[in-house]
Amino acid sequence: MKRRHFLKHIKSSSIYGLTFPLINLNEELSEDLKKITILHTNDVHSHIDPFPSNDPINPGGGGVIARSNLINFLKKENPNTLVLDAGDVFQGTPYFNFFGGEIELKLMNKMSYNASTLGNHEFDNGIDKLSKVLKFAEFSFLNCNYNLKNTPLENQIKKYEIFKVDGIKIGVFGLGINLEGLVEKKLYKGIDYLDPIEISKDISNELKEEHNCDLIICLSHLGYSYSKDRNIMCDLILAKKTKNIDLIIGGHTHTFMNKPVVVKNLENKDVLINQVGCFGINLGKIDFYFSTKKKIKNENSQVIYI
Amino acid sequence: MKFRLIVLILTILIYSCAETNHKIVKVSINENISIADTIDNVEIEKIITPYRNKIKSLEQVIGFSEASYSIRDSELESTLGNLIADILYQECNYEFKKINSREIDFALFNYGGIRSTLNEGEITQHNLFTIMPWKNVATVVKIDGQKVIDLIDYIDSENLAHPSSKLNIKFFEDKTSEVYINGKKFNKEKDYYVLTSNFLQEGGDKMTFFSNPIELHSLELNLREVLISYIKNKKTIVSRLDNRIERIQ
Repeated sequence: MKRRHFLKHIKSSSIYGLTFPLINLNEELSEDLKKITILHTNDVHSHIDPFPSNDPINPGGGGVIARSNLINFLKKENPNTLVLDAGDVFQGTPYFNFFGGEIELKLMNKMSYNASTLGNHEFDNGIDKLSKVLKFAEFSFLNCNYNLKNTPLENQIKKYEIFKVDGIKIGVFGLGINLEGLVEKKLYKGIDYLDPIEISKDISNELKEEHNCDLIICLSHLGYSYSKDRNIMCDLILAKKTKNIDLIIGGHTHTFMNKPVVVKNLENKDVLINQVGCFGINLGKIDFYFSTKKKIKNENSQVIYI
Repeated sequence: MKFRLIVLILTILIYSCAETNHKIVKVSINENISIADTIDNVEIEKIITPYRNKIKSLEQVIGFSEASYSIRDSELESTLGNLIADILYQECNYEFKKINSREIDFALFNYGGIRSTLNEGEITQHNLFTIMPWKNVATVVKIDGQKVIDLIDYIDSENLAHPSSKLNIKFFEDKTSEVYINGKKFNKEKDYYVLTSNFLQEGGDKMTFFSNPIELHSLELNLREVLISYIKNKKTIVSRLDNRIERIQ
């Protein structure tokens, strides 16, 4: 009974909101495509329990139990799935004030997260405590634009990680926001912020050319965009000024996007950007279909969006 | 002939060993999914329970709110911002006066520091943690009139409901403004005592007018704790908008 209720709920929410025309499904089978699903969150901010039922905006929404159920369900549908997060895992409920982040990380382990990145609030208890609590994580926190040399995080944070899922190579790297003005200086002492554009170009080139990644994902805590000043570094600028990135999973600005947007990169190729607001209320789901043919007739053939 | 055959076999071998070039041919752009269900998950519950039990005392009711108050319900002020800034001003001014025998002139905090709504009905400490999770402590700075002008310009350009108390500003269309501080007309020749948080004093949210003040007093009071003890004493909480900072069109 409960199971049926769950399925009913899922169907009524927007998972199947986009109905696949039958013709597409057939084509998919005949072409023998490989399907990789990317599930993602951002800015969960220690929201472990669902919102109370008297909350005026999200009554009963979110919560780790519901998120875990949903991830389990979707992973059963497609085991070839990565679960990613774009930072600000911490700070927002007493669970962080009292336990310093360990419960958030243990729950993310259980939900089979594969990677996250450092949001500004990851530093709220200072770099030393961050370094200690990160030992609870069984997945990587990725960042390539903080110079962490001679800090406790030096050997703890990887620039990128490559996942091989069903023979598909997926390169994931992380970007953080400039911490100045967002975090007290003494809490992030010793960290230099580096220009995200140049580093992203280098890293994505390395992932593409040296490691032959089929899919390149950036976990970004830069923010989607800033209406106050369009020149402030953000995901939209990052997408336009770089190449080789296929998907930017964003955070920081708590932007509730309805679905991913497609923008053009430096080479006029498509980049997807998505962000799912905050507090574990929504989950992003993007399915990439890969050709398994050894030779591709037309390298520049258009990607089909469904 | 033999040579050709070897070359052919080698070519086939090399070709088949080479990594397949997997190209993205199709992407499904799904709508983001809302997370909500009420189905149990024993394994997750097992992880949460011991932690939740340790913070159970935070669920005790400490007061009541007459209505739901938010930081987002007006332009340059808000019901929740007014409530929080007024309580913090009143309580911290009392402490400041005890030590320094003088009054704080006004208070300014930041919009981004208020993370949640205060819902109608029972208030718990847990609610206060979600509204103000920070470790920030009450801090008083003495700044000169020019820095107060910078502060007013900041509010104008940010165009956000930064919580304030005892600060009244009317911004006019011709870019002029009328400013009253603690009931008296603002005098740019005067210095002012301003209540804020240590985070903002240290340049947080680019409030640079609080940097290098003439005097700096840390009250060593956690802002959330001040709110909690006030609500415990007061029991019923009421707030309203009063146009303390507004644009005159």
